[in-house]
Amino acid sequence: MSSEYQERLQAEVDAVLKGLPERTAPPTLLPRVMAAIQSRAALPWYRQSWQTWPAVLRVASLVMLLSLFGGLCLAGWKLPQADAYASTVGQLGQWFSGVCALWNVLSALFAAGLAMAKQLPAGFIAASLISLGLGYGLCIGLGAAWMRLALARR
Amino acid sequence: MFVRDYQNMVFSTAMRLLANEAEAEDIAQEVFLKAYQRFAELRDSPTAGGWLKKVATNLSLNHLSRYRARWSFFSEMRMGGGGEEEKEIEYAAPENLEEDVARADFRELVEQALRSLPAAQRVPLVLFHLEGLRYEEIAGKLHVSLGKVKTDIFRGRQALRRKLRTQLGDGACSGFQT
Repeated sequence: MSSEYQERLQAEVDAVLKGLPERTAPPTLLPRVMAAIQSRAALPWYRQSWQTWPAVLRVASLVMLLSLFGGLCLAGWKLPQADAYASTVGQLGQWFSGVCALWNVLSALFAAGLAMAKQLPAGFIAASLISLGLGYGLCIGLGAAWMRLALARR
Repeated sequence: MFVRDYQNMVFSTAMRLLANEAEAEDIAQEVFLKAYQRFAELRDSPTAGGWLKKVATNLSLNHLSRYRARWSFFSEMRMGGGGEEEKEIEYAAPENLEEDVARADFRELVEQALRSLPAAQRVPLVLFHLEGLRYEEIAGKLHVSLGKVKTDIFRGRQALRRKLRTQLGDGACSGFQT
């Protein structure tokens, strides 16, 4: 394609598209917008977006959040230096000892499963994977066909 | 009234990008709700139109990337496997058009031809010719390469011309003389 042809095509399409007038919005748009605005305006201030809150509340919420953040930072810095910290961490460790036991059991089960899988013939594993893939593909295909039928009836 | 003044522009922007009236109306509503939140600064602003157009464009593009991609697999099946490229548009009887196509009819044919383009061609075409964006800006907005944008726009122009010529006949379309 020559650049002359491309430039001419661009100019032609540009002229045609720029000559298009604005489309008329559907008559339902204005009532929809007004209804949505009214329903939003009827909401209490705390359920509206933060930008629409009264200025005093916005400042107050900002100060509160900054204080909270500062407090958390301070706690993260000072807490490890406290005497009660080590004993609290030890107590937490005891509480979570059950989770460690569960992890050990799961690890043992996984190792047993892995050892069992190593005994299986490679052909069996390949056939299982292919069956799994086919089943997955079948699900997608049936879902797509169902969607096509559902959409076609609209 | 603010909404009444800008509703056609906002709806047109969304409609030409989405090619779906119901979705365009949803986007237009969302645009005006966003404008309502900033109404104090937009009410008397000379740039309100530009702001609304930009928001309409961005929301339409977000909508396309968020929802259309998710359903493209199913919608392509719905089209019979051929995708949007195969979608035929309905035209008036050719003999009426052979004499002199009325300007309004011609514009409607252009709108129909634009709507019938696949989104991959229509969206960059609209962004380039109607929104005035440069190739680089379109590539950035659509998250595709510059080469793809140029190719899609070129193919879109060709397809648009082909569709109009098929309907109007060579030379019948004033904007597409060779």
